[in-house]
Amino acid sequence: MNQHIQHFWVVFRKDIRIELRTREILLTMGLFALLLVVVFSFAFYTDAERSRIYAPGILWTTVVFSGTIGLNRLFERENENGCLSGVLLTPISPRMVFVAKAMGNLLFTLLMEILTVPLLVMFFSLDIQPVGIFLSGLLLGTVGFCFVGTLFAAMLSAARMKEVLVPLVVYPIIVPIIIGGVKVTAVVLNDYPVEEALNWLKLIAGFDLLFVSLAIWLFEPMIAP
Amino acid sequence: MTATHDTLPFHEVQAVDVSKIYDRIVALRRVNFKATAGTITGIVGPNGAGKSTLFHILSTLVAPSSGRVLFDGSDVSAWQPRSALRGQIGMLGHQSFLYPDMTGEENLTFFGTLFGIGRADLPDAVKRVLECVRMDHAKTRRVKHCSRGMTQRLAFARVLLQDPTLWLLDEPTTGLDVDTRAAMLDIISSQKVNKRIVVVISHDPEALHVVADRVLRLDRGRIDDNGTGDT
Repeated sequence: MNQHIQHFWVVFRKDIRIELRTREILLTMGLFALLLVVVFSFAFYTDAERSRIYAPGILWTTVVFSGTIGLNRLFERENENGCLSGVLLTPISPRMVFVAKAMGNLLFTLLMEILTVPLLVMFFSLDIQPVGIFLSGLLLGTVGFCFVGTLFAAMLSAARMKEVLVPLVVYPIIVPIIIGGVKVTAVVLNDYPVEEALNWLKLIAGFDLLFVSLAIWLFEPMIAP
Repeated sequence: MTATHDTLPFHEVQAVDVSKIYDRIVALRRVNFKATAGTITGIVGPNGAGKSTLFHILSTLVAPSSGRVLFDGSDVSAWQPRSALRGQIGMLGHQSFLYPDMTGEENLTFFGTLFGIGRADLPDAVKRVLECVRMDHAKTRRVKHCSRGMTQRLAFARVLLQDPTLWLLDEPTTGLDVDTRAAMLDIISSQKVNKRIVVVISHDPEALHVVADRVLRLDRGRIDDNGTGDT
């Protein structure tokens, strides 16, 4: 177990180190998210009441679209110089490689959200209550998106037109997360009953449990049969 | 099964009737091949003969379309976890397996940790292999800023650090200067004493003459494994 944790940490830290050095993922995700929020705010903002209706969809569209940039790039790095083959020819369990890559994606996506959410609140004059429910929905949804997305980004990393294929495959699968996330966000922005949000949170948590387990289990036979 | 640097987890690798077909192109046709510990096998053949495909199949990273690869008579699927077997297979291929945005030293430290080298021993081990390949002067240079020959030396250092049971070396001397080439051939030759299984693909007949116990010819996906040492 300790060895697995050490392997996870080594791969995770390596991704962070490369990202801090190149800033490719964070810069592109951050700029794209900023652009989307600004464009949407000009397109949809009329008054505070209407913005509460549009904001949930805008938030999740921004998270998923911007997050997809990170999904593609993080595994592209493993294909440069055949590095993934090099990693697989070590005693590391391929599952630990997957978990480390997915957690890297999760970290970068959460950092992008830290930028996006305050901007959205500012541009659309939003009042989020209760914050805990909102953050739980955002975190659970991001976890599911990153694990499913990382699996398919890995699978399609050697494919031509992967930038197009990854969203085409991933988005239909994560529809429950997007719907659940939008509904939870709508509840906290519009003072709907909290019980409604809890039901959607349960759905997202169930999705996460199922698809995170499936993704971890499927990675090895897909990447290193 | 455990794979450590002190014990050899297998002593023989064998390809039995291995074929590989990519999109109706036959890369390998019923190849039979065996390599044992303490021997160095050279493989020659024209471009597109299937040499690199054979290496990828022997490395277990690519599954054959038909046939089997056996390690001490056991099929790859018998090795659980598979990573214990893969950790004992070292490959120097057309690609360096090195992260371009990390320095040579950082790459070797990263892979050394994954190979299971202890934190206390790792700096010395990295220093030793960098000196072996004469790259200690450029260890802090990012791989993407290294020349082809320097990258090749770092990739070889990575295999040295791993010290695997099975060495799969595809054109190991490409892009190297005369002195480094000689040093690398010495290191490869010394693996016979260490009882490693070494398979070398090369278009350099002189290099194979120096290191190989026998040389097999692979042509149009077929191998002639007569073991006579003929080129």
